[in-house]
Amino acid sequence: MISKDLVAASARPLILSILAQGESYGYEIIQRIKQLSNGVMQWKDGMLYPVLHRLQEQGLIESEWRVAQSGRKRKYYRIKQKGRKELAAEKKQWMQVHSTLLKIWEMKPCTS
Amino acid sequence: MHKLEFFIERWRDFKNAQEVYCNDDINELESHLRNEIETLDGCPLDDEEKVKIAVHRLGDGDALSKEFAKVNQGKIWKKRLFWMLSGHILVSAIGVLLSMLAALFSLFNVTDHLSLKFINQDLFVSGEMALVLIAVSIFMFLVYRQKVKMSGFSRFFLGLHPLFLGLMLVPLVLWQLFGQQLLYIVMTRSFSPEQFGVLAMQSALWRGLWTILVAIFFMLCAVSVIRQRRTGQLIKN
Repeated sequence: MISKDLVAASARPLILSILAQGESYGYEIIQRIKQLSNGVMQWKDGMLYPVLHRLQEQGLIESEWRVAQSGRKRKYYRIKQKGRKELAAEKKQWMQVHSTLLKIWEMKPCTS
Repeated sequence: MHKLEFFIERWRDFKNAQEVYCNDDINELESHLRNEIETLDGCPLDDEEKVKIAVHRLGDGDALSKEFAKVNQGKIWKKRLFWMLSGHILVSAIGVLLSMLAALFSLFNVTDHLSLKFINQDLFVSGEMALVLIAVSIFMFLVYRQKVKMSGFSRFFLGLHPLFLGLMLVPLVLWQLFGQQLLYIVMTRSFSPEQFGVLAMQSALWRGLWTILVAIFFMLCAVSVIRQRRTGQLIKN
């Protein structure tokens, strides 16, 4: 299980990366993260929303209430150009941390 | 299915009672809750149990409200400012009603022409202000009723920066509460009763104008609160 601090720190790049693949809503984003991390990244579901709102406040993403196919209203989030730039910068930083750790541990990138 | 709506409504009421959530947050969390409940559809659980599990999956209530409080800090202060002003208006309304009663009472006790003229004017101004303040009080009551159900707040009002609102409104309230009275004490020391009377009338007119401005502001807020409540209801369908 990944520690709480690390989960919190990775929330931003995770959300931006998922939204970079296409618009989505809160519940779907959480399911995607659970699925991609094989359940290792455990979020308390509600915690996603304050992060989304902060990203929106910073102008990285935008949102819109729309009626879904099920007939219920849902708030969809979409990444903005500024968000894509931010994601690129975050990606670079995460890769730098990743490669530094790998060098220290003298390991090849983990494939499993 | 009715039972499910009852439990969700109860959860909404609980969230509404916490000032850290705005209407849109609760709508979004409700949408999430309904998704979560749907995944439990095949399970042998009753509606209350389903809602409880879904709420539990949302996470610890305290931790969640702390996070929302950080994001919504500006909005929370605007709400507080709104209720502070509401209190101020209510006190003003009571004050105006009392001064109207005092003017009415003094009508029966004066005999000279000049005093009668002043009292008449005073009665007119305070009567007008009382009408406006009563209208505002009714609006405030409406807003309060909406809040119990939905905790909505004006989109227009929320769009303004809290610092700007604070800078604009707090000095006005302070001025009305203390500034005017202090100025009076200094200015009217050497005044004759007639001059004092004229000054009192003018200040009453200005007070009336300020009251009307505040009234318009509150009505705008109340109208958009009602509009938000309607959009909130759409989510269920």
